Formats: sequence, C-alpha cells, structure tokens
Amino acid sequence: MDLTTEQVLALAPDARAAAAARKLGSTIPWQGLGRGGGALWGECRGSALYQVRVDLADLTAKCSCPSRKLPCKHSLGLLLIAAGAPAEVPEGEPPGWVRDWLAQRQATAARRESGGTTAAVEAPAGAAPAGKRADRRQARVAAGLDALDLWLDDLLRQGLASLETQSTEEWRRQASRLVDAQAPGVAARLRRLALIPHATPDWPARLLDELGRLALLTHAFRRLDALDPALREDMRGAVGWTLGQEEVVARGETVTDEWLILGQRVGSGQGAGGEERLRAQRTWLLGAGTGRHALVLQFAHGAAPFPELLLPGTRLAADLAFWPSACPLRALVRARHGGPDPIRGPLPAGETVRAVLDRFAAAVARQPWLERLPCALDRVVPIRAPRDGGAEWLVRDGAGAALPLAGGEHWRLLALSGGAPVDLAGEWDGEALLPLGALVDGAYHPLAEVG
Amino acid sequence: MDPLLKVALAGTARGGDRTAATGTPVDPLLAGLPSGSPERWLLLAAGARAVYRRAGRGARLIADAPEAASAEHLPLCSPAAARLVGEMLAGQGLDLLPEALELLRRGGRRLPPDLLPATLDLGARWPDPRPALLAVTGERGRWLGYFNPDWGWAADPLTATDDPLPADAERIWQEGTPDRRLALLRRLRAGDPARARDWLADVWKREKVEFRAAALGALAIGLAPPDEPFLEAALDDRGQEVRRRAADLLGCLPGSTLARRMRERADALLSWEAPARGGAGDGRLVVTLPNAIDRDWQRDEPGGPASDRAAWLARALGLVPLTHWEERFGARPAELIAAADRDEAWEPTVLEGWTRAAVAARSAAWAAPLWDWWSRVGTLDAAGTRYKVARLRELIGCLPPDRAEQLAEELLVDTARMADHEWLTVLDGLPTPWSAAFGNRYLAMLRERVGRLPAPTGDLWHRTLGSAARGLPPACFDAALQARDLPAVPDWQIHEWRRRLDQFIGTIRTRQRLQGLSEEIAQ
Repeated sequence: MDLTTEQVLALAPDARAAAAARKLGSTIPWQGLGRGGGALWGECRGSALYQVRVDLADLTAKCSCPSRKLPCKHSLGLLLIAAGAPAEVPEGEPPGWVRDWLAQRQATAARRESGGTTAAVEAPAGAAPAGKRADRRQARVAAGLDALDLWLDDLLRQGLASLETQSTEEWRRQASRLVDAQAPGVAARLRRLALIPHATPDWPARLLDELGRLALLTHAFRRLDALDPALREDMRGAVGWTLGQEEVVARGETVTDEWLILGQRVGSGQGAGGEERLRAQRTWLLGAGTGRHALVLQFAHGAAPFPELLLPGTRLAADLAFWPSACPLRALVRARHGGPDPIRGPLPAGETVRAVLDRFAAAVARQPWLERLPCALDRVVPIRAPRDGGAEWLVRDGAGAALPLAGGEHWRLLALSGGAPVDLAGEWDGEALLPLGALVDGAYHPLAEVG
Repeated sequence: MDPLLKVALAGTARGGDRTAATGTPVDPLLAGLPSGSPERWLLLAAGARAVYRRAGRGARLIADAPEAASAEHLPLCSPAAARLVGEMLAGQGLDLLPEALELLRRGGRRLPPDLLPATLDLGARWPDPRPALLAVTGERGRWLGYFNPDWGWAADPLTATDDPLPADAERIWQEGTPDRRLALLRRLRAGDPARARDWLADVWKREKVEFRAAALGALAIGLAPPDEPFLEAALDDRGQEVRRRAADLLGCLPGSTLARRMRERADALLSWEAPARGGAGDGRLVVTLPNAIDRDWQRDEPGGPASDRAAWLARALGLVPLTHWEERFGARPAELIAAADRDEAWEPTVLEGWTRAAVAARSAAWAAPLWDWWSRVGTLDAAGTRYKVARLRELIGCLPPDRAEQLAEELLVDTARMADHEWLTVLDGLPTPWSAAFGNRYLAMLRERVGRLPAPTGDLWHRTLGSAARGLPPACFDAALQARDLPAVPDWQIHEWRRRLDQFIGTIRTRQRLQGLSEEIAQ
C-alpha cells in the first residue's frame, strides 16, 4: 500500500469521522499492528479493545466497534498509521481473526462471481418489467409528458415576464406529477429549472434555453422509435428509466484497463422521488491504455458508505461496464484486478483546449442532452486575472486558448503550478471547467471541493 | 434584444409569429418543424439554438500568461516534515508550529507548494509569525502574495528581506502605513539602533500620540544608555501612554538617572535597624512613607493615583536592583524578607516590590526565600489567589532547575493544592525541558495516580498533563508513550482523564516527530 494521509482522509464518511481518525492515527495506543497477505490489522484501545482489519485489495475495512459509520474511525486510524508511519506496521503473518475474515470475503466474492446476488446500483426499479407492465409505464409517461407540454405552452402563452411576480410553487407541483407519471428524470430537470428565475441577471435568457431543451426532450421522446438505438437509451435514461447492474453488463460495453481515479465529489443528490439525505458521489476515471473517460455515479442514504470504494489519486486495474449511450460515460466497476496504486507519470490522452471543445461539440451532436464531459488538459497554466473589481480564474494552454474555471477560488491549484504549465484533469459543462486534479512534477494532486 | 426572448417574455398571446429567426445555422432545421402552436415552435426553436450554442462555444484567447514564480533556492523539506507541518496547520499541535518552522529555517528547507495556501492564510490572520513563515515558503510563497490580497505580506519587500535597510526604506518611513513604518523601525532598530532612534527623533513632533507610543515600544529592541536623553525628554510628552512607556524603558536601563532618582526615593522609604552586635534577635525594617507624592516623582511614574501611597512604594521598590539593599543594609535576602514579614503594616507591599525586582533580574538568591514567603501567604478571594500564583509561577522560573523541580515535586504530592486549578499553572513556570530525573519521577507519579483511579472528588491532578506534555525531555518520550489502562467505567472523571491523556500522548508524539525532524536537519 502506498497511500497518502490525505487520500485516507478522503475515505471518511464525514468530517467528524475524519477528525476522530486523525486523533486515532497519532494518539490512542495501538497494539499488534501488522500487515501481510493483502491485509492490514491492529487492535485499538477505545472504550474496549477493538479488532480492526483492512483488505488492501479494495480497502474494505471491518472493525469490531459498534459504530455504524463505514469505514469507522478505527479503520481510518489504522490506514492513517500505515500511510503516515509505515514503520509502525511491520510485515507479518495475519492472526486467525484476520485470516478468517479474508477467507470469508473471498468466499462471498466467489459466490457473487458465479451469479448469485447482484448489488443494486440504483434505487431499486422493481422486478424485471414484463412486457405488459412496460407498455403501461410507457403510456403513463407519455401522458405525463403531454400534460407537461400543455403546461409549458401555457407558460409561454402568458410570457416568462409573468414569473417576475409569481413564485415557482406551481413548478414543484408539476414536478411531483411527473414523478407520479413515472418520469422522475424529467421531474428532476424541472426542479432544477425552478431555481433559475431571479438567480442571475440574465435568468430569462437562461430559462428560455433550458425550457427549449426540455421541449426538445419531450419532442424527441415521442419519436423514440425513429432514433438511433444508442441515443434511445440516453433518452430513456433522461426520462427516468433505470438499468440494473446486470442489464448494464448485458447491454453495455465492458472495457478492461488501468484506470486513473482523477477526482471525486459528493453532493446531497436528490433521489428519483426527491428524497432527502440521499448522497450522490461522482468519481471520474481515465483509462491509461484506452484514454477513455468514465464516470462512476453512486448513491448512499445518510452516513451509509458508497458500495464501491474508489480513492482519488490512485490507479486501479479493473473491468468497467459502461451504460449503453450515444456517448458512453457512466460506468460501474465490474471486476477489480489489483489493489490501488498512486498515479504517476503524465496523464494519458492529454488534450489542448481546442481539442476538448471539439470533442464536446461532437459529443453534444451525438447526445444533445449531455451535461458534462471529463477531459485531461495537457500543460495548461492556471491564471487568476482581475476583473470587474473581483477576479476570474482561467486555465490557458500553450496556444493561448483559455477556459474559465467553475466558481470559487483555486488557490491550491495556483500554488501547485507556480505559474508553470500543469496537466489538469477537469470536467467541462459547456460554460466552465471544474478542476479535478493536477499532475505536477510527476505527482498527482486531487483537488478537493472548490472553496 | 434577441427576437425569440422578446416573444417569450411578452407571451405568444400578445402576438409574435413563427417567422422570427434565431440567426444561427439551426434556422433551416426549424423550417422543417411540423406545424403546431406558436408556443411549441418557439420552445423547439429556443431549444435547438441552445444546443447549437452549447456545442459551439469557443475558447477565449489570452495573449500572455503572467510571469511564473522564480526558481527556488532552497531544497524541499522531507515528506515526513511536510506531513508534520501539514497536520499542525490543520490545527493539530498548532502551538508547536513555531518550533517546526524554526527547525526548517535553520536547516534551510522550504515547504511543498501544496501547503502554501494554509501557511499564507495563517500569516494573514497572525502577523507575528510572518518572518518565520516567509523563511520556509520560498519563491513560490512570495509569488502567490502578488495574487491574493490577504497574502500581500508575503510579497512585501519589508517582510521578504532581512536587510536592516531595504531599498525603499526612506519612502516607507515617510509615506508608509503606520504598521509598515513600525515594522521598518523595529527592523532598523535591530540592525542599527542609533540610526533608528535618530529617524524617530526627526519625525517625533509631527506624529500622532498613538504612533509615538507604539514607536517607543520598538525602542525596547536594543535598549542601551545612549537612548536615555531621548526617553528622558519623552517623560514630558503630552500623551500619558507615551510617558508611561518612556518611564518603563528608563526603569529597565540600569544606569539611568531615572533609576538613580528612584533609588534615592526608595532609600528614603526603607531603613534598617541591624540586630545588636553579637547578640540574638533580628534586624528591623522601617518603612517611612512620604505624606504626598511630589511632582518629580509623579513625572517618573506616570499614571498612578497620587493617593495610593502603597502602590508608589511597591513600584519604587520594583525598580531598584535588589543587590542595592544587600549592600546598603549588609544583610542577606532571607534576613531582609523575614524582617519585612514582621512589619504588619507594609509587609505585602514591600515584598511585592521586591518580587518584581527579583523577577526582572531573574535573581535566584531572592527567588528562593520569596517563593517561601508567597507560598505561606493566605489569600481571601479568587483574584488574590490568581495574583499570588502568577507571582509563584514567575519566581519558580528564576530558580536553578533542580531547586525548581524539587518545589514542583512537593506541589505534585500536595493534595490540597492539586485540588486548586490556579496552583496547577505553577508547573508552567518551570524551566523547560525538564530534567530526565524529574520527568521520570513525574511519570512514576502519573502511573501511580492512574492505578488509583478514580481519584477523590475535586482532585485535578490530570490537569498537570498539559504542562508535562510541554516540559518532558526527549529522554522521557518512550516512557511517556506507554499504554495506560484506565478503569472502564462510565464516569465523567475517567472520561476527563482519558481526554487529557489522549492530548498528552498527542503532544508527546508531535514533539517526538519534531525531535526526528531536528535530527534529520542536523545531518
């Protein structure tokens, strides 16, 4: 294992667990620390003596403490010691309680491989739709979208200026109706639109653009059969049909590669029905051999852990199964082939600013509702330029082409670069680039939440 | 205005037609739309145009990137050092950060760029550690200072050089902000005290009272007899704070005329009746207070109310070197203190003055008997205890380490005092690092205390762990880090012990790593 303390802390389910783990990593007495056989173990003296073990293949941890947080502070503390003071964790033979656990994990993995259980990656979609049931949903969705169109037409007949004085309460009601009509994707889109009025000075123009894109979506959905099969999948996904893991594996493409885990963000995502306390995690990956970008999207309720543990700044040999799409990006980890290693060397598939924009244009042409596209920029200089009393942040490539950075300050990126070119991983949404991590002097630095 | 947006805002009900064009290449596509309502047409046209624009957004062209940071002169610190400093910046052991920075500075190492934002933020909040921070932030830190107004201090030539007179010193002194002028004055004072005083004298009359007072503070650096005429003149300043500071500085100058004037006044206040020759009995200290404080005296001690004659006595005695009394009265410190103790009227006042003088001169000969006297003093209220313990903390620091540690040990076994949180702070006055012998005895007591838990109600012994974590010498680190089993009962006192022990272990670990860092840099 070759992890940094920062990477370990990124595993913490919340800030409190991270702070508690930091303390455990340096203070509470540990005993029987060791590593070997692909695992890490130790006993930690808390209110009682806890047995802590970590499988280094995927950093899954188990601890005998009663905490419901995963990984718990003891497991994080153990990883912190291994990262910060490796000498304190000597090589050795795993004790019985570690060996038993590892054997148990292997047995479970084997069972899963042979087609036993499948973990759900989404809010469960229910039993596999029988033909009749699928038809019924299709009809309900179509009716829901018809009602939405009528409402949109009415809005345009009255004029957007009428929103100057009205609240967007009615928008939320419309969104709820779309959930009832089993079109949660459109409902979520409408909820986002409801935030646009009065948010910026140019909100009418933005709102018209987004209403137009929404109208294109319902328009296209009615002509679903005339579309390219791959785009059809995107449309169904955008409206709210979900695919189970086995469907993704069966219908999408599987790519084996050494994947660089470029960055990760956790947002308070909204579930299909707009549930609270659902956390959504986005992890960006880039294939070292294929140069393909992938996005792993995971959900978890409350403080529950995300099913797949992905550590920014590391590389992972794995098979990724991509969701079928005209522009395949979303993927799930189908199988892992080794433990995480730190990212070294230049980023593969480095592009100029011009090339990223061209690729975005081509992707939007294939999939007009595409929101964001990951990229790896080759040798760009971060710039903070004064503007209108404030400042704006940009990155500029060797040809002088520049992209604005997504809101907030980027001091860490500026400090890392020192005004010299860096390889930058980011995500372009058509307006601004969200920086995910920078490769400087051969070392990759994931960039945390923009602050 | 955009024709589509115009119609959309007003509403299709008020007219508008489907002939409006987007003015983009999507127009021919729109011609192929099925006939429908005008609002449907408007939405689809707007949508197609939005997709077109999203796909077609171009890059901005920027002719020049700003100049990059200069090449670094110093090597990077080790990853272990960077990790240690990073944790300190994140708030874990922040009080030991100055020590870590000083080690890096002495070793000529710099911090990795990753840590610079947190380091520069720290300097933005607290000006004091700026020179220490700047020594380890390298060229990159200076470069970053040009972009972030909060970090501007890092790019300031005044903080960026050790030169007593930076290139634009004259301009800063004439036109700079008060903060920068004072920084420059302190800098110059450290390198060339006479020149700094001359610069200050040149502008003295034009300056506001706040600046005059603050500038006198800078004269404490490198204070020497040639400063006396300037300070003597400042005793007649209009500002009381200026006068007070001038008097304080003159009091610190051993040969000053103010010190001599105070000694003469003190001589009139105290006299000594020696014990009968060869006979038994004790000497007697006689205190004679003047009826009124004259103007000259008030000039030398600005700010005190003329009516509180005891305060004048204490302050005058505080400014007179204690060796003066030993010579003048031909008596030993313990004798004089015993005599003062017998004077019921003026006992506390005289001893308070002598304590000030003893602490100022760090006199071990006086600190020992004064410690005995103060520890006997009974106090009535919390403020009195706090005052008394503060004196004891000062006095223990003036004693030879072995004597100081012996007193500390007596304190640690004194059950009554270990139940008084004021008394516990005395340990902070001990010279650091502690001796290994005392450190081991402390750890033995700790082991015994832990073994006897829970302790009697009111016992605060665990609060000594903070002083111990700072004071224990490296030779005691391994023993200090040994595991201790606390009783597993849900008791708030045990909880408090565990919390303090965790902090103790954390600080010792950090100090252990600092020790490793200093060994690494020494190589």
